[in-house]
Amino acid sequence: MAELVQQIPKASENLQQALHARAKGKRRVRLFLLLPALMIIGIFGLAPLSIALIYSFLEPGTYGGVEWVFSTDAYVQFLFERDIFDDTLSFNSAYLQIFGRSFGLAIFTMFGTLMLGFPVAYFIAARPPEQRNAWLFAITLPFWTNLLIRTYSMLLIVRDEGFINLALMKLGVISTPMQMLYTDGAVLAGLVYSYLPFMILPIYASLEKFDFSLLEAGHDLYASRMQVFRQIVIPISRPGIVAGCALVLIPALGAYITPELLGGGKKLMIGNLIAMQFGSGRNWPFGSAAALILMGVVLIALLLSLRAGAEKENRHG
Amino acid sequence: MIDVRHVTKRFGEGATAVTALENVSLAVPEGSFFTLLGPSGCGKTTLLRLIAGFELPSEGEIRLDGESIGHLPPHKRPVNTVFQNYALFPHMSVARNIGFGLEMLKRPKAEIAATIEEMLDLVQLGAFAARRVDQLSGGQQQRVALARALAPRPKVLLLDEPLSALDLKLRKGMQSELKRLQNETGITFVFVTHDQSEALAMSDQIAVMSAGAVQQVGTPEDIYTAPQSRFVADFIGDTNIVTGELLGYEGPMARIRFADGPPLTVKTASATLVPGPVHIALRPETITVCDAASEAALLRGTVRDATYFGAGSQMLVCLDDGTEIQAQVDRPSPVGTVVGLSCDTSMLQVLAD
Amino acid sequence: MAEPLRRKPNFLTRATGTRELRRQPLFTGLSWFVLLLLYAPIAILIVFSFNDNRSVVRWTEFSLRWYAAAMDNGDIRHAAGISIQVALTATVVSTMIATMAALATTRGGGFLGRSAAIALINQPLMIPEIVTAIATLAFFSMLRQLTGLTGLGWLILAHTVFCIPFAFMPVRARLADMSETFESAAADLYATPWQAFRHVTLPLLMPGILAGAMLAFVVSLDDVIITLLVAGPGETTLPIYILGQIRRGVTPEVNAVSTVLIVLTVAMVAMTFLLQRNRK
Repeated sequence: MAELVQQIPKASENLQQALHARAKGKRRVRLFLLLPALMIIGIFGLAPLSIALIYSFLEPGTYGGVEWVFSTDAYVQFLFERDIFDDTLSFNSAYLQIFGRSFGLAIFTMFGTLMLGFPVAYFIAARPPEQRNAWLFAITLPFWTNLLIRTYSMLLIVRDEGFINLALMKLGVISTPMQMLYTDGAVLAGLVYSYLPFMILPIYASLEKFDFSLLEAGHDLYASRMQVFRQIVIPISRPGIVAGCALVLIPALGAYITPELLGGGKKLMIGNLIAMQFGSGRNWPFGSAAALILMGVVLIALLLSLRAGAEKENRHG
Repeated sequence: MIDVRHVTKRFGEGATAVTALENVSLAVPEGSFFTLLGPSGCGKTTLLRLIAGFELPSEGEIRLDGESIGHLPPHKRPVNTVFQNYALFPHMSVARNIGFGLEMLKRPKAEIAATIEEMLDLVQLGAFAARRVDQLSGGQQQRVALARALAPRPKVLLLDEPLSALDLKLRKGMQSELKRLQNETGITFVFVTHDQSEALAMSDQIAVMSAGAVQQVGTPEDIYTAPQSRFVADFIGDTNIVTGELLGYEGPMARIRFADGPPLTVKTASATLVPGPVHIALRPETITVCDAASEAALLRGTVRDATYFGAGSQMLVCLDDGTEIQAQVDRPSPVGTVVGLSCDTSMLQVLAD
Repeated sequence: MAEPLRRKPNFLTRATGTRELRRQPLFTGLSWFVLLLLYAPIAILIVFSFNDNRSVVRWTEFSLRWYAAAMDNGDIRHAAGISIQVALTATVVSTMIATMAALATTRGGGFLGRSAAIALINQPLMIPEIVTAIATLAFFSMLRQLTGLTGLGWLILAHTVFCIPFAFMPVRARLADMSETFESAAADLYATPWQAFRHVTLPLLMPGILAGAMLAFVVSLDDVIITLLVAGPGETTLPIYILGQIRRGVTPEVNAVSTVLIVLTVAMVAMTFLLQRNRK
């Protein structure tokens, strides 16, 4: 080859230049196109997180903000209460309880949305194609409408003088209004209501291309209805279920509006606790620390769900 | 004329690099209908994309009328392409699709309009100028794609398996249509296909490609009657490949014999083979059946199977060494009989490998 | 011999059997119930925004009085103005940036760090909103002090960041669906890279860009948490105004404003949906 190239040095030179210029031009255009997005998100999306990390190791300022003094108080505060007079630490479970409630509610929300969402996703996937789009649209639409307004409309229904109580009283089931608002149940219902589409869509996506004649094949091979479901449908929709669980769990953990409105500020979740520290609580370091712990938990959940999704593929491959 | 010189194309880098073309050289005569024929993955489409400029060669040179163009971007080459799936712009009318090339070249409006008219006539779509392309049938889209690529009057028209998306009947019609367009415009056509009957029917010249290299270049007749290698013999039409013994050379011809038969003088693809066993190509339609004991019989075997196909029958004969031979005959012998096979020895060809 | 016999009826009822397996009857009922669950609260809110009474349960008479009251309310008008200013600016900027990034990540082949770039662009989606909100508040209050700059710009910037991934998704999806052969064909027909983009890529991409812009607009218009923490004094958007009113107790004016917001959102999302369906 070397001799051949030398026979036509000029063409080869042109070619090398052209190859070089093409690659360089491509890189330049790519950089020009990507830079604004990467800069904006890098600076105004990622940098704030590092600021929050720094703040979590500082002391709170009297009127909000921070004092630039190193301190691990924000983290200690989670488990212990510092006595104002003698500076001793005593165990305090108040914040742990809030974290516990958040996890509990988020996990219940996940199961609730799965129980309701899976059948719906399956039902849509089994529709004829022309009906599927209409169903998908109907399911996604509430997701795009304002979460605040949806939660507010929920509040109108569950409060003492709301629709449910009124209906039950008319029917004579109860004589005085049942307290539903400001309970864990109301918050859970609100969370399920809010995040249900997040569960339905990924499961639907995994079932969309499902060949329903597989069911027939399974049935033909003497599998019962339940067996067909367990052995064929569930494994195929597994990636969707895993993704749906992650998509519900993550925002449910950090929920703010739902517990604020339906929990009435009494049944706090992490989200409210964090927001409070930046408002009336005026403890930015503690708020930052709580936010970082929440983010850590979410990242772990994401990694676990990625691994659960990957396992599935390995088994197939 | 297009001159492809020592072109190599590699995709990827380092250990994962794949060589799509290895030191390919070709000359496409001006004004000819030239076909690149080969199975998928043989590099024919890559070669076409190199000529169009969508890829740059890793090494080598491509010349068009003596001018080196291998390094130019596609929009600076006087070469147009008809894509496999046509790639008509769905947001433009038929007329605007056809005029797009001239529009990009900033030709005067009147000239563009006149050319569009002329092209619509050429492909017989005069009534469809204002249609949207997605309102056209596959065959009509094909014609628009042709008109669009011909409108700027390129020096070369590249066609990337343009007929593969059409059904059989349309395809036959488009084959003669393409020939007509090529004759009328006089533009060099470089046509890529994996369909050997399409290639034989349309081309002035065929380059058979395999594994990133050109195996043989020639007229359809050359390629069919005098294949150089087992690959070409096998790929073009139905062929029997029989083992014979090379005895020596006689001028440009080879002397061979089959089993214990008489010596024969036949064409050869190579003059440098060592005497001993060689492969010989034998087309099924050149075979005649004779009595096994007859002196005309070059080969002997047992009839295994016969299939009637209308214009004749296909007979499967198993030679003594186990080789199976296909023969086209008018009336097949009964299965199980031992028959002799003979043919015009000028139709036999010793292969190079 | 018993096995093939058992198989026979199954074979005969094959067609109906499949349909039955597809149609889990329990699921059908449940699906309609879920649909009811999703829409009932919103429907009640909308219906009672037209109620002549203050009540949200007892219907008296159809009336537009709460809409009129909301129109007359200076606070609501101000909040609507802020909302639209923020949403429009954030939409235009984020859609442009997202479209550029989508082009870079789908065209011209793969490159080192592409998945990292995509992950970075999607980063705002992967972090709980409350965390983004407080982190942005901390960062911006620092920048405000350092630069001395105040104004709506900070809020718009915060919105732009979380709008980018929403605008990015449909544009990228459309580009990924769009064969690069169109660009090749344009180049083959003497279009320079810029001409190919201008005459072929951009018009074909337009539905995706519009879809992205609408999603970005809706997401910005609806945002509560980030706005709540980042907005400066006097920068009350509609959702923040509504939240304040709800905290004080239910008012029918809020129902009217909420209905307007819902209708606006539904109209935009429906258009997006149609745009994306038309491409097929």
